[in-house]
Amino acid sequence: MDIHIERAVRHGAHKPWLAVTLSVLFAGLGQLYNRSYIKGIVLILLELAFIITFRDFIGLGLWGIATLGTIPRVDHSIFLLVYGLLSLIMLAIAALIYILNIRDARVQAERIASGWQRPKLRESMKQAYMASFPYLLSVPGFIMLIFVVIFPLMFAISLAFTNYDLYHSPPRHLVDWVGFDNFVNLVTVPIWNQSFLSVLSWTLVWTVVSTTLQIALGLFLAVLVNDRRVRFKRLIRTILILPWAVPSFVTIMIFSALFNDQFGAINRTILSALRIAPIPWLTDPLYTKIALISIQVWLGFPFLFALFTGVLQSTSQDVYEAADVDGASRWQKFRHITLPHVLFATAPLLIIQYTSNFNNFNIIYLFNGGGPAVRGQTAGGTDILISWVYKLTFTTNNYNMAAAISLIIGLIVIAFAFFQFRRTRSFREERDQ
Amino acid sequence: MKRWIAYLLASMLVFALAACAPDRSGASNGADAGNNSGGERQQTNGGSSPASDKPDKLIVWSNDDAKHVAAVERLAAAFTQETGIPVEVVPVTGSEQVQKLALAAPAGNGPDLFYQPQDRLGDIVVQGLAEPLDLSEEELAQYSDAAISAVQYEGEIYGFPISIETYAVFYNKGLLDRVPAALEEVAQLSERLTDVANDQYAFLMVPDFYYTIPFITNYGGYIFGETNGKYDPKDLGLNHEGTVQGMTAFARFIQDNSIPPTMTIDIMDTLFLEGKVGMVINGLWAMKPYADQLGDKLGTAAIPTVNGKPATSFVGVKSWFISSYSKHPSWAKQLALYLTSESSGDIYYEETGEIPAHPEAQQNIGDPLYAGFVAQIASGIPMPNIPEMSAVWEMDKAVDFIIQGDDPKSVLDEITEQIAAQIQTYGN
Repeated sequence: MDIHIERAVRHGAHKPWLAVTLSVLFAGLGQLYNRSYIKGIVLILLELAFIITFRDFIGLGLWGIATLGTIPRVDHSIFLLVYGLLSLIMLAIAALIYILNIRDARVQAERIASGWQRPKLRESMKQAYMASFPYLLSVPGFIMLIFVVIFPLMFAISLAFTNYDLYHSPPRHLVDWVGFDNFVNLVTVPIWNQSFLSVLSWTLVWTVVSTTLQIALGLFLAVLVNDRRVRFKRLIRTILILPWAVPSFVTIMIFSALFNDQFGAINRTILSALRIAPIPWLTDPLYTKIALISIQVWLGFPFLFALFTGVLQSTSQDVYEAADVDGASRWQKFRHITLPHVLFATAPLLIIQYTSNFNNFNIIYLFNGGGPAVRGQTAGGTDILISWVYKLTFTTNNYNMAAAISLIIGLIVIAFAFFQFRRTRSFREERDQ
Repeated sequence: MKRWIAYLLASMLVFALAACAPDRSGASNGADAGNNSGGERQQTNGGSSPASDKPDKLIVWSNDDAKHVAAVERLAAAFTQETGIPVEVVPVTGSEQVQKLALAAPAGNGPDLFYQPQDRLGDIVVQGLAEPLDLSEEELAQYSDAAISAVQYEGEIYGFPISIETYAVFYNKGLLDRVPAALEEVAQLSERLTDVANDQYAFLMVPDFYYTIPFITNYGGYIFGETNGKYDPKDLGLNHEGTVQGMTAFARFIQDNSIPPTMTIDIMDTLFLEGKVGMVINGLWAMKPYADQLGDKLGTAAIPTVNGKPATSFVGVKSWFISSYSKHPSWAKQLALYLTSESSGDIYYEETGEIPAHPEAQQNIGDPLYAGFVAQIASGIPMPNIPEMSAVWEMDKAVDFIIQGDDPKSVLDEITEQIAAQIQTYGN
């Protein structure tokens, strides 16, 4: 800009601390002191606009989230909570811009102090554009993410710390913050803690067994079909992928009918032909669990089969030929070439399979409603955490407990996924590059 | 880095200072408006409303089922013709209306009338979404006592009953000439008709708590204790001696008639449609598919007596409710009365096939297949409408255990304890 004045500034006469202080007082003042007039004016306008437009809203929001309303019928706690969360998000964004503004003022001032020459306007614009281009592109997506993912998440987490149930529902009543009461109730109130451990343990067994079996079956079939000697590969692949093509809820409903103790085809036709006594598939928890795992394997293997087939087809044959020359056995080739290769390429997707089975509400709910019932506990014999929460909370409007347990489920899944992703070679590889 | 945090805190502080309680002068207007609407209704409820304050339009949330929407739109158009007030019919899924209303109504986007089955009434009142009505004798006359008692909560009337639903007996005239007088006599029929190996049954029902209520009440059991039309959620009658006896009788009944414990509604429908079942207990919703398949052979009847008394059944009453946030409660009331009048009941039956709540409209039904249901409604009991009822469906589990041969007394003690514990978590 004004190169002449710029040159006149003696080294050391320009004070970074002053630029920082000015910027803290009001965004853009430091930039003005640094003689970045356009930037300074834009920042000043931005802050003014923010304060004028959002002052009332943020004021109401922060008051609302702190109190959740004081007068029933007038204050709607849930609206206030939403306003409050939106205010916090906007404040966070504003704070981010503010910090960037202060940092910019300091960096610029330090540069000027050390005798840096300001580039021409066009030059500096171009530089700024180049430096911010990736951010510019990702900002719309990021803002979407904030409102589509982060905001609902914050809302759900907030509910876990309130007493939002039927008798504390707006508009007639207000919701209040209750701290960790819901979590304390979870471990102290009998109907919650009686079933929690048995449900949690079955959830883990269900996740590990059903997912591992479907992966194993998918891999086994993929390797088998991929063998050179197998003919009609396309036909076989199409058939094996069919279970995936049928909507899963339809499959589950049909299986539910097939497994019916008295009228289902499995007991009536298949087992009676084999002269086996009818098995109580829907009335004995153990058999229901076996049936559920079998159905999940049936539903899940085609995807993994397709996935593994893709990887196997792209595997170079050279490695196998080299192994043949070294005299490796069939098992050794599978163990040391195929398996690492396939798992390396698909590990993240396999983890997603585990986590989605952990919360596989559809199959549990549609097959037998979490049943059969078990004496002395609120959860059915095959209820997993998510279906149990549904039963206990959504039918009885216990939104606060639903949020609390969902938070715990979320933490378990996040911890599991995070731990596994970090151990996955495919992710580590990317980081090393 | 620490410096930045200090800056951040400083800037946050600036905004935190701005965050004080909002100016309530504007908001309290809203409060007055809310109270006004209640008060205004009280005033105008009894008499006719002045024609001068005619609203621009009334908004009605109808169930989103195509048949319901068609019926309500037809009736609303007639109302508009009569009064000149346009009615906007918005289809909103019945099961989602309460939740949507709790958000939309306070924000001013709610309807004047909304639609709910009476068993949600407790939820509605607790959340403050509807206010008690003040109906004159004349206005009350268009509803049967049973329908009106179903839309009462803690002694106050809240709803305008539209239609009544319950379950009754469907029977196959090809297999039996008439339905036995007592349910206990069905066993003799079973000896003649039931052949489990060939899927032939004299009698089938789904062993759910919903259908076991005649056994519970007719042996003296109950769900909630009741004083002056007010249910007491602390007084559970589910392990009462009468309930134990009733459930013991029910287990024997299931066993005597070889009814499979894992019977589902789909299997029952299939077998009945194949003509392999003499009689089933099912709801009105099954009428059309049954009649299409069986034609003249289909008959309906009230459920045979249990323990020597007319069998009760759960009755659901679908009703209109005036939103607490309606700006035109007196007109909304006129509309609701119009929508549930005798002639409207006839039209409603014609469009939806549901049994209207209006007693005369019920008599106007020409289809003889409805006779069994209309007769059953007479001895029906309304499903308890307090929110705590949702915990009582845990009884399904108890029914399962009992028909599988567990001791009824210990099962019912256990389940009652669980239900009581769950009711505790309701926060009341």
